[in-house]
Amino acid sequence: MGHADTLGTFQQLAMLAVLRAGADAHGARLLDELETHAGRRVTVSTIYVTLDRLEGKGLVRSWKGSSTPVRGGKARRFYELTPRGLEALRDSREVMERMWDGVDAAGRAS
Amino acid sequence: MTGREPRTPRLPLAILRGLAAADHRDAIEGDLVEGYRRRAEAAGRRPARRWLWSQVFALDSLRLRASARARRPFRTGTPMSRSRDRLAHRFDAFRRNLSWAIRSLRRRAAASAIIVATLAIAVGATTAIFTVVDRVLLRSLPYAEPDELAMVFRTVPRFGFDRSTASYPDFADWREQTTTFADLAAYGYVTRTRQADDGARRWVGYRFTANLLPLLGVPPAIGRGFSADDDRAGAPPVVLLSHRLFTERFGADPAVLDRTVTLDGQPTRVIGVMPEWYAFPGRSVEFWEPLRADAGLERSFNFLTVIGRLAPGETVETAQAELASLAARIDSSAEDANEGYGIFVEDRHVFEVRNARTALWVFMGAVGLLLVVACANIANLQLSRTLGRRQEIGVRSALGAGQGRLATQLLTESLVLAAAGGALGVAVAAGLLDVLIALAPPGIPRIADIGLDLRVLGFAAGASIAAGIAFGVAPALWGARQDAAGLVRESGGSGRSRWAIRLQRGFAAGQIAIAITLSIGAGLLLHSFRELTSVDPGFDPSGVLAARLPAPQVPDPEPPPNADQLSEEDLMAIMMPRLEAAAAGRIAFFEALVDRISAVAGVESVAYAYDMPFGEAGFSRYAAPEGSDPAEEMPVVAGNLVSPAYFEAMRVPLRAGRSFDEGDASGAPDVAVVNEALAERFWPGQTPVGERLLIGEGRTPLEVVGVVANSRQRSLEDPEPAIYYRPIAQASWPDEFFLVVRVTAAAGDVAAVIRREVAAMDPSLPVTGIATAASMIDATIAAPRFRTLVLTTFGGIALFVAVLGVYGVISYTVSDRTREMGIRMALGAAKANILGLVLRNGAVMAVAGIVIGLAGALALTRFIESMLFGVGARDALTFGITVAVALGVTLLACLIPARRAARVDPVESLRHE
Repeated sequence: MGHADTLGTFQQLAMLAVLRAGADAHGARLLDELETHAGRRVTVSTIYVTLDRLEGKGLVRSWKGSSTPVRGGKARRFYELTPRGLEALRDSREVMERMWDGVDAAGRAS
Repeated sequence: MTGREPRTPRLPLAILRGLAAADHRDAIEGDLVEGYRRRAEAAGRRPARRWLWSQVFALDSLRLRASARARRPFRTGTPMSRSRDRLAHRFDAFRRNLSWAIRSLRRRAAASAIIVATLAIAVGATTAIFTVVDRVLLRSLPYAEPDELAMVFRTVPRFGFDRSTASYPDFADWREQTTTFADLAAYGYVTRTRQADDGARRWVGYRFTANLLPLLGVPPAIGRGFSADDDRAGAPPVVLLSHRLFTERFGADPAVLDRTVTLDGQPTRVIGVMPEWYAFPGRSVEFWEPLRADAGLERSFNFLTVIGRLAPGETVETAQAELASLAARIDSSAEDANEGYGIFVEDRHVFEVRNARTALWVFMGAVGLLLVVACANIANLQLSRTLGRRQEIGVRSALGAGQGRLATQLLTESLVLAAAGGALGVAVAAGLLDVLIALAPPGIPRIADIGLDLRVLGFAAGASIAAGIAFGVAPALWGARQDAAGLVRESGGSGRSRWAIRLQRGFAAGQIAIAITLSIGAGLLLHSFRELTSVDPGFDPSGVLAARLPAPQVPDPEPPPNADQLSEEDLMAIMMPRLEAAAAGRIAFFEALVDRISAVAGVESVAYAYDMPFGEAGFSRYAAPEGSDPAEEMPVVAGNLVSPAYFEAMRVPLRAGRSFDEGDASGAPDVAVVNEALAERFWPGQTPVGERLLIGEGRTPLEVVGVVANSRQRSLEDPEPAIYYRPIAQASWPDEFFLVVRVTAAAGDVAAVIRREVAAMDPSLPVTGIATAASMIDATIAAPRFRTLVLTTFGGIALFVAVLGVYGVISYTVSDRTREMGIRMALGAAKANILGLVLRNGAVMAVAGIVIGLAGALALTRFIESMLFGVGARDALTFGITVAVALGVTLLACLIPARRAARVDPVESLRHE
């Protein structure tokens, strides 16, 4: 499929955050990842809306974890990329790299 | 939750639970709790809390719900309940409006700041004044069932006394016979000298009947109140201390209870301390002692103020009727009848605030008007902003924003401004309140206890929200009325509707009108204050220092042991020389003191007297010229007892005859000096030197030896009373004196000299109230100065804001009509024509405002009539000057945009489109 799943920038960032967080990929952790590594202050609404969309497209999947006292007894929702999701993310990167190819860092065609 | 973990604030989480759909609720809540804790540990609670609130505020529950459905395309999401659905929609709308408003206000930061500042000043002033009015006028007294408390005064219509004091026997009779009052209590002023190790000190206090504290419902903070036993004649002396005295003099040590202090040479036991807030009957009271039914309690000795608690079902009116007939009956049957006396029953609260009342209501009205001016001004600024955003609004409308939605958005913007202005206004109010309390004249009851409280905060919030709605509605209505298509089509420029123009001009004219009304009121007070301060007091207060000190304690002469058997004449024959010897002792003391102080460098003259202008001691006596009809009722005149150097020290000019001298001693012929007012009253058109003045009901003759100029005695406002002066050596009964010292400019610390010399002669004498004569006069004009200052400030702010408003409207008009101006100039209009055109525009608003303002002033200045001195409430000069100033500054404000208009380059302005 691939091409139908052109990913938006924020969607890519969210999926990368899920990958970086690994087994700990839940909402609070993803917010931190995005803030520390992408420099983006994001709201929970935004991240869940994005992940919902990606899940609807079958690019990520989620499940409910067990509840922990550090969260006031509320369960975490964990995320991971589906194989299709990983493929789409890789595609997006390739598209970007292909486009960068032939352009130098100063933005001039080389 | 464990103690180590920072607790998550509950409110934002509750809002979250209320809004979020079930799909994400738990996960999001958990994420937020986790995030909050991590941030609280890393950066502290404050940023963590801010983060949490921003997360909840940004919660987009509608989008979340929609996306949750997208996640599971073949299942419907957990259905939300209808009420939760509505709530989510509302929150969403609120959130969007709010962030839109904040963004839009930030884009116009300067204009927003002006609005917030204007509002803060108006709300702040309103709140500060409201706080004072609330505490002083509206709030009830801090006593049990305060509505039942009423004062019972003696009136003496023929002297013009409407709130006079009563005698102990009268009070006792009333108390016994009244049925409209559940109980009556009485109190009278007293001062005592306390001898302590570190010198003598004067205590100011009240004596009251033992039932007063139970009647008010105020127990002492520590110790006990007075019992009926303390009230009996001959009871051992006891005293209750004020909280201030307790703290300042006794280190707030409760061991002071049952200690003995020496008051006027008598060992007196301290039995209690009153609560800190307790200040009956006034703030300066330092102690209270029982009114022991032993000394000086004849029916003719009126020194008691009477307060009572009304019986259930009775009112001030029924009490007035009962007491009046009761007192009339007692008065007519009493031996030393109180002829021509009446009764006046007055509500305690009304009595307490009687002097401050008018001024406070006037202030309240003035700040109310100021708030209206501020709102009108802000409405105009908002309207201009809305007009400037026609296209933006048009586009939004064209894109489908409903009119209701647009209006809501504009209203939200106004409310955000109102909230910011209100919050800042509370800070302004707190500052202003401190200033008001610091500047307030004495005599405003309970003003020192005033602090901003929740009720007042509520008022501030209410006022600012009302203002927000007031200035938000007009622009919002206008904004929503716009025809979207027309707006988009329009290419800027002169597309203002007549409706908006009229509204803006109306607002501007209205502001001018209110500002004129306020300024005229302020102008009248200013004018009146100038009149007051330029009154010649009739003596020269500069360089005069006065001190108050009691006569040295000369033991009262002992009556002979067989006094009971002697006739009155015989007793007098024995006692008079002894009394005179005691009096001579006092005079000798003062003469010696005068000599000592006169010897100090820089001291010009020294005198002593019973009273002095603005000294508030004084007495009055019946008086008549010799030869008047003895059957005629004698008028009452003021009297004073002075030492020979008094007129010289005060620089009261001698008009005829001579002043007193050393020869006018006890035993010499009784003489008097009268002022011009008395001379004119008793001997119109003549110089009464050599005439005889009859004093008192016994018609004691005094030979008039001189006439002096009039001088103001109690206030600069009241005309000179008729006064006669007697040599103090011929009367010599007072036990308290004013020492009057005139010094040259080069004099050092004369106050210290006075203290030193008095202490050198008699260390047991307390010197109190050392003050310059100028400051004593000044104290009497503190109230008018305060009123003038407050109202002038309001008037000034109102005028400034109003002129700013006119400037804003004209300036907007000019930039709006740049193209039109350009065309006019291209067609040959001169710069002067353009200037005139703009100025005319401003003048129309100013004149309309002035006409309405004048009408308002004519209608309202009568409320301040009672505060005016030497100026009528419709003083043409004040009206004229105020109008001229207002017109002047308004046109000046119009000149700036007018010149800008005249400089318009026709070519540029047309290309500008």
